[in-house]
Amino acid sequence: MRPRILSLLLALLVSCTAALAQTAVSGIVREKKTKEPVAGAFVLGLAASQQKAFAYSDGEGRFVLKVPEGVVLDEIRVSMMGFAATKLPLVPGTSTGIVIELAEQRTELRAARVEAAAVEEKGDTLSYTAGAFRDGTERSMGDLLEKLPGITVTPSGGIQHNGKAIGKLYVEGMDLMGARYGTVTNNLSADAIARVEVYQNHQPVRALQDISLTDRSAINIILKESVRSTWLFSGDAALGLPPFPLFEARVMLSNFGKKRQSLFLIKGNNDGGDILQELQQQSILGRGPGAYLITPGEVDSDLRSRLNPGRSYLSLPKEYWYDNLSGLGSLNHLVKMGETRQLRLTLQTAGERYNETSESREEIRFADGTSLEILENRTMTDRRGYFSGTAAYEDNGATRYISNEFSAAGQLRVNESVLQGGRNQYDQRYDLPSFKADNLLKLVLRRSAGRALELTSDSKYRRTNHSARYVTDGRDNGQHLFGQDYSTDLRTSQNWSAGRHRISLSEGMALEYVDRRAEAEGVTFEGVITSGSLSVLALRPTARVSDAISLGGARLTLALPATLHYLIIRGHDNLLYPTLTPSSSLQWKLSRRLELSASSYYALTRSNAESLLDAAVMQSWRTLAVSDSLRRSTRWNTQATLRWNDIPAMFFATLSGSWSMGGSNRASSSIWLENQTYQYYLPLSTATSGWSVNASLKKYFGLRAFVVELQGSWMENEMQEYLQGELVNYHSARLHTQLNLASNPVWWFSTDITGSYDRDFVTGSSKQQTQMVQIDGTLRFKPVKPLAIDATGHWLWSEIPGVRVSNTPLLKVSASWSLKNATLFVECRNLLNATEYRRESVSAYRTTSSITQLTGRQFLLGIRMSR
Amino acid sequence: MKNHNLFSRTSLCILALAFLAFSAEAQNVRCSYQYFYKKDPAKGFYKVPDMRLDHCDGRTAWYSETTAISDSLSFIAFDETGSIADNETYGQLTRLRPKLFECTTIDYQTQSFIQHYKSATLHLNGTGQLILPEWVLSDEEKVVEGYLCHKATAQYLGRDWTVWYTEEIPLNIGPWLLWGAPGLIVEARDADNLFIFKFTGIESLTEGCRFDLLRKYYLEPHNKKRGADYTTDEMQKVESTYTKLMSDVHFFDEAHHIQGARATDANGRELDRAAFFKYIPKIPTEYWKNKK
Repeated sequence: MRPRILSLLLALLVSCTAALAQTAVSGIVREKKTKEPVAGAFVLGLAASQQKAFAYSDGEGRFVLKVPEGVVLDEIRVSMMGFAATKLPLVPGTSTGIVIELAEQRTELRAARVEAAAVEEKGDTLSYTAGAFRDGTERSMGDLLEKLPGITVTPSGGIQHNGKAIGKLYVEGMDLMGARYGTVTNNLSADAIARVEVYQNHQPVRALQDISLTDRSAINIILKESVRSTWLFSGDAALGLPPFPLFEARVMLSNFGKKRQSLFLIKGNNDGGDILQELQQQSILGRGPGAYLITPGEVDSDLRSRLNPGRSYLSLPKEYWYDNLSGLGSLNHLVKMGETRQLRLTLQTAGERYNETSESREEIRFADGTSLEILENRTMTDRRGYFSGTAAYEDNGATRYISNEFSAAGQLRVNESVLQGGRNQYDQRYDLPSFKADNLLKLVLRRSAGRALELTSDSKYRRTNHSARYVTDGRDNGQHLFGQDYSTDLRTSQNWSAGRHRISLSEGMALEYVDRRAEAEGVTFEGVITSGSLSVLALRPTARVSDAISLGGARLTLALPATLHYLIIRGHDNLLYPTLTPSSSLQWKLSRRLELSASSYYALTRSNAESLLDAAVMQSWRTLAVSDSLRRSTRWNTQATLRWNDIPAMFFATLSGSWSMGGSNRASSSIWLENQTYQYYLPLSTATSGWSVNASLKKYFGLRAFVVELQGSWMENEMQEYLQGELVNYHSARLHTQLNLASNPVWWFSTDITGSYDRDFVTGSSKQQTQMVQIDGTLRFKPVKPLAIDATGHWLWSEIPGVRVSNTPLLKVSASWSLKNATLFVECRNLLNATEYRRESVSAYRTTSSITQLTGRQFLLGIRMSR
Repeated sequence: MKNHNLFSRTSLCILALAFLAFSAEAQNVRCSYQYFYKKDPAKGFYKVPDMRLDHCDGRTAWYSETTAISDSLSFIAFDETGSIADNETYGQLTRLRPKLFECTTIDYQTQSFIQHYKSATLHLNGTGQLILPEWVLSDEEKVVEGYLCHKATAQYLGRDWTVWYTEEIPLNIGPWLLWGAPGLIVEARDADNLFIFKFTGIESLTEGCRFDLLRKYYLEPHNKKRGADYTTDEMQKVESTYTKLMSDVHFFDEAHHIQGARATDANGRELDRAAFFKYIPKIPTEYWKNKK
């Protein structure tokens, strides 16, 4: 029975197929090589190049195209991922038994990246997609940030947005490093970053949001999903010569989660990497007036005194001239304890030995037509050990903010030089141990939607016990300078929000104790005291009122800070004087693209209490200097900037101008002798003034393809100084032009070239003109995807009256091969083996030529791990 | 013995069908496009730079990246009562600015699609069966993002479309409801110059296909504050409702129970809300009339 039914069904099926013969085309799709059926192929039936029917092949490779009535198919096309697209002409009338063979072909995803919008603007937030700005040359986060419009990165890892230092650096919304975020900028791998968000006008204290306005930006680094909340290891190692062994080593372990973040770093090198600068507190985030002004080779300006041996600074990559052996360790951990609270612990330690060989020639021209020539050949070794530790707690609630940061830092520094000064040889040695501890407590209570109370207590203890010794054939001079300061500063402030106004009234009281003892041995200069002490207790009540007014698209801020200083000086009369700095600033968004910012301030200031020390200090083998004894200075400064930011069009233009005028009740004076210079201040009024204009245009063509930036500025200054007791007036002007071209039109080529031309005009006791051309460039070529060949070059040409100097170009070539998680590289630095770098400068009465020894040609071979 | 054979064949068929599921591992890709559309034929294009076309397991999802992120964050940000459940996520959500509130999901195995729309709290879903555009293939060639492409034209869903497809990516898919060419559709524009789709990149997709997520978001109400959802197989109704919502301020207010709404600029000056309500549907209204 059953076979009969099956036969019947089969007969029915055959008859149906016959009936379909006019309206269906069927066949099989199989693989060309193995003849295996291909399932899921997309089969199209065409008539006169027009698609009329489609089908997918089944598990046995079979397909049936249902042909519409009246249509005669004449072509079949088959497509399937992994196989080459296939066409088959169809003989009219053929309807069954069609065999289509597909040849295997790997589908190449050439445009292998999904492009997100490169820059998006959402309110005050700018979001940059990291991938859109990468060209493969960037290793660290800092390298990547440098490529984003409006962002610049300093060598120490400091970040600026639109020319202003940022207020906070977050990674995944958390502030792991506080003010010492340079470690992250210089060490976090660029590969780990998915997006960079810039929060403009960011107020990090939630309790002050909408009450206290800020013009600082914050940057938030958004990591790729695959690297969030996981331990990331990265490391570099390189070995080279001469001298052997030249080395570079870095190991970093980090974890950036939403609740907990850690960063552990150990690194060291002796090939010119100035890694200690990463430990600096970045500008603005650091505390104290004027933030932290760091001189070359310095980690913390609080650990500095007037006995501060200088080091050369060349505007060249340090790998050419920085002769060092450096190492640092950094341990950072942050724990989020609930919604708003977090605890941050940081421990950093570093050591460095730095060598420098230089020679200089100075010519001092006097009013009577005579001149003095000072020659100096110096071989210097500077050693330092540094540590710092920080514990910071923060509770950033919507209505209450409390934070306390305690930190301690210390430094042992020994600086030794052998000098050939004039006809004599000098041995110069400084011993500079320093220590500081400080605590910053901040409390903010939000009373209502428009009012908040702020309380700040900043206490600091600082101790320096510095000494120097200068030995020559005929003299043995010594200098000891002891300093001990304690300061505490208590401030409260109330913040209101009333309509368009954001008013802040703060008052405070600072108490400072300054203790200085200076003692010079064997130093004599007619009429100059070389030993003495100073003990000052200063009380400083302060008040500050400010109002930030929102006027449509504009914001006007007016501020008046004033301080009354009462100094109780041991052995002298007490002093009372005011300082004040009224200021105003305007930020006006004229349109979506155009922004005007202007500011003006007047400052009546005095030098710090330390300047009351009347004993002169022998600061170097030939310089004896006395302080300015609480010099009173006035300064009026005003500046305006017009900025055009067309982000979708990638065009940025800035025009800025500034003007300033200043005065002082002390005149800077100097007396130059063959073996000694005496710097002092005369109780005479002096005035200075200056102005400048600056313009820059930056245009990105095709986002990554071509960037042009043109800058120009003109600056003029009027100065007064006393030389050998005679007044010297001089006027200086500088023209600066700079052109930057950057292009990466194709993945295998990129270049970035900057050329600048400076011309200086000095008129005073004599007229001088100098000019300087500087060219820096990088070039990258990738013959194949994993191989990159890079070349960088620096060249300086300068001319002063009678001297024209063209330095040997400094060239570096390197080749790197990218593996999955690392890059192998080999490089040759200073290809042309330039051994010295010469700079010339001219001022109204002084011409300086300096030659710094370079490190010569070096070869390096190593590995850098991206993750 | 016979039973055993039958079982083996059944197993083979199941395996084959599983394989028929478009060799998922081999074919899963995410393509990115830019989408340009006009609200007014006489004015310029609006641009959505972050359109994605996910192809996985024989299904495609066409959506805006920002909108998809915003939709998925809203699952975390709000609880089922519609109240804020996670402040941090809500903060992230408010920073996103989605530009396009529509997406298209296609299941090629069943030859069906759903056109999803969102208007404020209202979700509209229109299902339909795919029809093959009768592409007229031309020999004209050009290179798009490094791929050799051929031109094809067709009258499809009420408009004359010109597309460029590449056989170098042998997928029969494309942006929105454009499909069926002998290769991936990388560029498309209509004859009235109202809509343009431009391919910008492709990457293989090993995880994170958003097909299920998008369907879940549009088809399953997550919280009680979400407005009425509307799902129908009458695509025309969904299209005409969304067109009306986007082009008629009074209808929009009515649909969302809005009374006395005002729009002002930064200086407090009142703006004409009706001026913001302009929309041109990709499937023209005439298409549905003619279909009747």
